[in-house]
Amino acid sequence: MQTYNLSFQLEKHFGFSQFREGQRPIIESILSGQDVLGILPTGTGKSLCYQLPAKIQSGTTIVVSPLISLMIDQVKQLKASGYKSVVALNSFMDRAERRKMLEHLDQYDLIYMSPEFLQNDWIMQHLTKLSISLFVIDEAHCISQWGHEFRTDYLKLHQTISKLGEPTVLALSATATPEVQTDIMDKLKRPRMEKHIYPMDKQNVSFAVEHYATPDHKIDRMIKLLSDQAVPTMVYFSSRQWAEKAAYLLQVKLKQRVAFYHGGMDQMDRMLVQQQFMNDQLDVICCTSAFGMGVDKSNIRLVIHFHPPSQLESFIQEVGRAGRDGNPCVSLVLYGPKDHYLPQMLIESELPQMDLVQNVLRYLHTLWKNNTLIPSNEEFAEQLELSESQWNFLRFQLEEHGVLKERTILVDPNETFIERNLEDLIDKRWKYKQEKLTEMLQWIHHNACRRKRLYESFQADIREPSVPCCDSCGFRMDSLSFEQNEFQADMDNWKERLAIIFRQGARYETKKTGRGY
Amino acid sequence: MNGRFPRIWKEEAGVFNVIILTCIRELKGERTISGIYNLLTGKRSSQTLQDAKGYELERYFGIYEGLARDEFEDICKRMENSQWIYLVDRISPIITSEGAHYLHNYKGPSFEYFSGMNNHRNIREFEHRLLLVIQTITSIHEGNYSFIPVIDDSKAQRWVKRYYASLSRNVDQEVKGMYNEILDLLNNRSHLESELFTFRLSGAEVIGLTYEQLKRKYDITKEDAYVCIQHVFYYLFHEARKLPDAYPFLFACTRGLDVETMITQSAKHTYHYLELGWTLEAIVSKRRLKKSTIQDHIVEAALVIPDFSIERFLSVKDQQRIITAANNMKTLRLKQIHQSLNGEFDYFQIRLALAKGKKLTAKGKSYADV
Ligand SMILES: [Zn+2]
Repeated sequence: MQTYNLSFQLEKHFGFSQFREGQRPIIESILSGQDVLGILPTGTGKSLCYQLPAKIQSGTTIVVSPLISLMIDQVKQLKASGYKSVVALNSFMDRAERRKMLEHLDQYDLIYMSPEFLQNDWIMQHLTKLSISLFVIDEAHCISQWGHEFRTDYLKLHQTISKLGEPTVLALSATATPEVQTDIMDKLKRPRMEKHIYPMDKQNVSFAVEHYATPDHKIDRMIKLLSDQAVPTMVYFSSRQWAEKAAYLLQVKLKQRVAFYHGGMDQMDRMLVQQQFMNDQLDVICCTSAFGMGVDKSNIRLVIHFHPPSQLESFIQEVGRAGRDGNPCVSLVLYGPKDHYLPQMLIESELPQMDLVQNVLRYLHTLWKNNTLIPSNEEFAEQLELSESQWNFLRFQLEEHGVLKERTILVDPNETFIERNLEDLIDKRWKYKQEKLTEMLQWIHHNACRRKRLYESFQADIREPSVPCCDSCGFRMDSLSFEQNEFQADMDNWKERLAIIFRQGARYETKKTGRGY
Repeated sequence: MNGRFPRIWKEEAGVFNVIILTCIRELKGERTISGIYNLLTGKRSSQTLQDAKGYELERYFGIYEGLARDEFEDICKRMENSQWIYLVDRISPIITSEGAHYLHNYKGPSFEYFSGMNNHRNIREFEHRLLLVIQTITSIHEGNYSFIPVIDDSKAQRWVKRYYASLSRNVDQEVKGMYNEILDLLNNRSHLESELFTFRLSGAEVIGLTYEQLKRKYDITKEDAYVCIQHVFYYLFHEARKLPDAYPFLFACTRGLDVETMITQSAKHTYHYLELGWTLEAIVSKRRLKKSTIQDHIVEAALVIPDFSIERFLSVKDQQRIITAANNMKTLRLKQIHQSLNGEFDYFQIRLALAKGKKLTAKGKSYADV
């Protein structure tokens, strides 16, 4: 076995002088060819665990990541930091760009891609020509039916791994209960993975939940709170409309600079808002869960949930964006009597109702009789009025039942057992989601220590926090006093702004920071 | 939000309304709301190209590619409610005396630099280059090599890399030069345009604003913010081309961006067969397209290819007769022209003559003037 001077390599490739907790042992195991399951909380530098081996090992590292935007963000950040031999194969590329990249795949140390891409024969042909030294599954909880973001295309990964010549496997997740951890190893068919589980509990966060009768009351509460506490803040909403609306309301009442962010904005606007926030040009961001994946801002002090997420895992991840600098931070949930309704609807839109399933089966039956291929995914979903995730779910289950193979129908889908099995599966999944939601709601209504309740399903021992623990243990929101940000009234005119952009003119000398707007 | 400017901007804005009203005035109720939308978003159809040319609205062709249809329809709806326009048959707008009055009293930024037909794609490229090169060079100047580019366009990124590699002066001089060129040129624009444009830029330490944020900051519409900023890009583009020695940096950003031939790929194929001497019918069967589609291609070619001869479809004398009829009636309505010439020519021939022929010389009069 080759030995590496890891500290030297870290300094050389990333300019860091020290590893963060958990990184070194994982990297050492990988380099010795051991498969690893790593559970590290967000903000602990998970990605370094494969980025460094990718640099120093010969061969290529493949990273499977479920979110294109997250992937693109990571590649941008890597490139910006001088890590050039990296690429993200994604559906945003046009055909020519993709072909060009595929022809030069061997020039990259690190290749990010979505799991669907691994199902593409053309792409697999190129990949099998490479020597793959490490296969990484990011957000590995997506493999598990019991993970909070089950993705059907993750289930075929074990086949891909063997087609690629059984490289070393690293599965990473920020939130996976012991149950999910076992499931990940089962589904990957790698029972002997070395487990590296690090505690999830964030010692520098205080928790609080407050109840309000209406959304307007919640807005008033935020205005009051943020008027007193001018610190970098994220507010999570479960709908785009609410994120926008609340941003407008806060903009009017607060001196802070507020913006909204959600998946419906165009690419450039999203980029600008994200960078403004990172750059301290914005103080409060009203967002949906689409925000924050690639954002590594260290000084977020306050994470407010205007709506509760649909499970504790998402909540933990979102709270995890606060206080990465190790300084005190706060999680505040604003809860209203109708707040369970929205996550409920989300669950329903993810899973097909039985009448929809029957429609699909009837339609497939007709196609089968006429011996025709099924239409493309988009067309199919549109014709039968299914959401994308509903059709993904059904398609995968039908493939599992041997009814479908790609666009060909192999058996008559009209068999009653198929319908019964699907109903059963949907029912199970629905119940599971409901249980997750109930868990979240129970946490909100929990009377004893919130910290213990939040983390107890992930780890045996909960560490002492370095800040007041939670509202059940005596923490009071009103007692908060952060070191305040200074807000400069920004009245720059365009000439001053231009001078700041180019750092020209006498004005620049007197105004040290460019924190206009 | 702090730092919001006083409301005075509102009176100065309204650029986009003025552009739409100008289009409506020129089109004289002969085209639909949809037709105007296609023009502004630069739809490459022979009908839209022909409208742009025939009604002398080429400048506005494609200046707002990303305009959402429903937002555009909302704006037209508001104009109708303000009684600046009314709709003939519910779809074709005509300007009213109120609308003409609004146009007349408009005091906002002028927009004489638009040259959409020739340049709208060049301007998009120019915009990407400029935004990215400013962010890149100012960041490097600060010693910051790890910034995240605000522009996601790999073509522009490659251009910036080449530009940076080819710099003949040092970065310090380069940054000064860029600053001076932009400052100098913005001094000749309206205050609003300079404000919007500058706050859209990203530098080493500040990130530009989204249209949503600009809208709030200046209390104008998103569309006005967009159009004003686009116009500044057109302005910089043309000024740099006029005076390359005075604006070497901006000129460099325009390099390789030449006037486009506005012809679709499909029309190009048809044109190719025509050049080889094929008949219309032969092309129809060869390309397995509808006759009307091939005719569209021919009209498109007549519009954009200067030396394309249409005599095999229509004699010079007949072309002249059609043009004269159109001029006499001050219309480009095919039906009217068709009728006035007693049905002698079909619509294809009339469109062809109009595409090739001189533009209508008589300036369109607004409804209020008639
Ligand atoms: Zn507690």
